Amino acid sequence: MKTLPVLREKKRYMAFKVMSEQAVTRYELSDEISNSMHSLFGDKGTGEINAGLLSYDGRYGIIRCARDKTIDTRAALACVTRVRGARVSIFVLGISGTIRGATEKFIQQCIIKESEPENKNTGIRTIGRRENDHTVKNEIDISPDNPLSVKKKSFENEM
Amino acid sequence: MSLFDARFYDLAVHSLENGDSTTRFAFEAKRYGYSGIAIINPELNNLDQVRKPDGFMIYPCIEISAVPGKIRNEIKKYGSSILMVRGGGEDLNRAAVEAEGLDILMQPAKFNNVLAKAAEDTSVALGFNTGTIIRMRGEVRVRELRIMKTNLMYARKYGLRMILTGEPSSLYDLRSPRDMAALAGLFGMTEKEAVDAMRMAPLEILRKKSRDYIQEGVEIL
Repeated sequence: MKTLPVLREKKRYMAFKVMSEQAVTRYELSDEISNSMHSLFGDKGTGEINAGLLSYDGRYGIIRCARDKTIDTRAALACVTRVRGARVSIFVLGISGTIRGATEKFIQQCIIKESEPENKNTGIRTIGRRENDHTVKNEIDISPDNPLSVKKKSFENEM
Repeated sequence: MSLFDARFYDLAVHSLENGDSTTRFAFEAKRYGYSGIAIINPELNNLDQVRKPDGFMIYPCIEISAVPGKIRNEIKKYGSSILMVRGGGEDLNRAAVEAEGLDILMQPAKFNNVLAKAAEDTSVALGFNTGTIIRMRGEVRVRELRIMKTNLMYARKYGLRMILTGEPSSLYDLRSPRDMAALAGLFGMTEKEAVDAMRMAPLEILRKKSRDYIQEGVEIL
């Protein structure tokens, strides 16, 4: 049976982007987020947040939370640092009241922004093999402080 | 207008490890919403020559690690950079807050009303390191949160300036200003205080360190 609209729990949807050294699967990410929430807020707090990973494609994702717990959810996402020993950080793109809003307003905008040709002045380009899930493997920074490090790294890659 | 449409600064970025370049870090920080960073004890001699986005500034920050008696000498030596002392025992904290010219006392574990009063007189800002919340788990984090809560209490009572930083040492440690405010909320800091700790307080310190500044109230225009 449907819940009465007035009794429905109010939710918010948070669009985020995952930056990681290695590919992170959906299961690993949701596990890590729930771990982080448990260690920050305990069972009671996590229950109140009512979090759920709704979608995740290897790079972008949407997480659900209670309307008045967006700040707590943000803090929990900020505390995710490692998945299987690889460094990870979650960047919240924005919060919306509907899933469609979160997708259209933040994730699609972010993808459009990235696909545009980069400003030539930035000088930030990376060479690397891209996996299916867009995660850059063997990333090399070609504008380093110390030029020797590039030589060393690219040599390692050839091996 | 949102509180977060402003220029933010992170005044305590560690020298980057794992070959991440300062340039790349600067671009990433800009994307996250920062307008400037200060690098602790930079290995590069000339930070002005590092390529960085338009309008983005990189400053040097010197972390003084000396015995309590030597802090004053160190301050004289590096006067033109942002000066920071990492909180430690009571003697060190005391020497730090009583030293004229110091900018930041980072996360002192033993802080009390006497030290707070001295910090008010010398206008030393109190640093809050959210990096410990991000990276630690369990008992250590509980202790750090406890420390930050008491420090916040003294800062409010004595009107001390607060500095909020994540002390990132790689690209993956960087957090956006909103995330930092959310993390600061865990130990009771309000959003407005957090924004001020990333904007007003750093700007004040940078103003003091600019060439035109002579002393409090005297400035070349």
